[in-house]
Amino acid sequence: MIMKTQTAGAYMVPLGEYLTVNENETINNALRMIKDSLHKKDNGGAWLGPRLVIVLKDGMKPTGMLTLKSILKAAGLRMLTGDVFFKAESFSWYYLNSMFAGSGVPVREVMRSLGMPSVEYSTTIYQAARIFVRYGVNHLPVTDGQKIIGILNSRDLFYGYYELTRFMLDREAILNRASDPTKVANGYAAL
Amino acid sequence: MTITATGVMIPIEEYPAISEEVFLDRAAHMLIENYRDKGGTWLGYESLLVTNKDGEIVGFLSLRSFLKAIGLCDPGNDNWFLDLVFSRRRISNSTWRVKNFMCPLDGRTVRVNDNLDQVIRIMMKNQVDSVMVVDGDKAVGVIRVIDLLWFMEELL
Repeated sequence: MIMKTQTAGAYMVPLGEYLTVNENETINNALRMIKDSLHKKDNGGAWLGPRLVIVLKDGMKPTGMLTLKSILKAAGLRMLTGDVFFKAESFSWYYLNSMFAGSGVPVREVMRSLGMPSVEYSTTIYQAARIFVRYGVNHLPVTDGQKIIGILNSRDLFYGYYELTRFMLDREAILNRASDPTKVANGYAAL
Repeated sequence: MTITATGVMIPIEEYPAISEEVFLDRAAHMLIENYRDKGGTWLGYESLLVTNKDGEIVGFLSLRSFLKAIGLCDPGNDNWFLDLVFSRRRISNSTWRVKNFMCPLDGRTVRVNDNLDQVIRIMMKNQVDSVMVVDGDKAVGVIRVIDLLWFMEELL
């Protein structure tokens, strides 16, 4: 039987607790919101708040999330506009250049979709950990049926697991559990 | 003025480090202590540097490293029948050491004089949250994604 504390949903942050931004908003405005979000939990002090904002379509429907990595992606795109080889060889340069020269990059161009990968509320923490590793992400949308109800971040899962077990890996019991020790020895979890 | 990696990095002597021979439970405890100290002050370190027996830095132990370990602890994976049929080998206790879960430094280094564009390029190319700043062969600091946040407006 799976206890509630062993489900990924128990460690998620409900969608309503995140700041939101419209998908047509510029990335610069969204960046300011992420900074506000970081200070949300500590009255302007430490960076304990969420490191992402939820992106809404038409101010209503959640369609994506904007993370620090999304901001890096936007900075990477800006660098491409200055790349002479990219300018010479790619039609995309005209599109990117007009975005940066104009009113700015809209959030929808660099946000991460709320679709796959995601986890169900009842997914175990072990399965969720494997999904984080497999996709190389720090945040996963949590669904209840078709509806997205929150976001699970890898930090909360780690700290939740630590509270649960003090990370005392039950070494004797675990001897039986991993499927491919050679992969582990090379630093890759058996997925 | 162009900002270089040294202007953003956390000096190496301030960053928490752990030996590659240590078990993960101790490493997890150390990471928790370096996120917040006993007084509740936020320190914010979300990875540890890993050192070898000679004290050289050989990799990062990140949250993802711990998630790999959590993924392996799934009670649902326990299947003695499959172990028997496919002769699956058993993990020894020593596997749960830091060195088997850390991420090596390959491709995660920037030079002290590199500008922030180069730092971002390395982070994006390797899909990592932190990079090591090196001066020649010597590691001098670490830059995390969050350290770049305050310079992003100039880069967009």
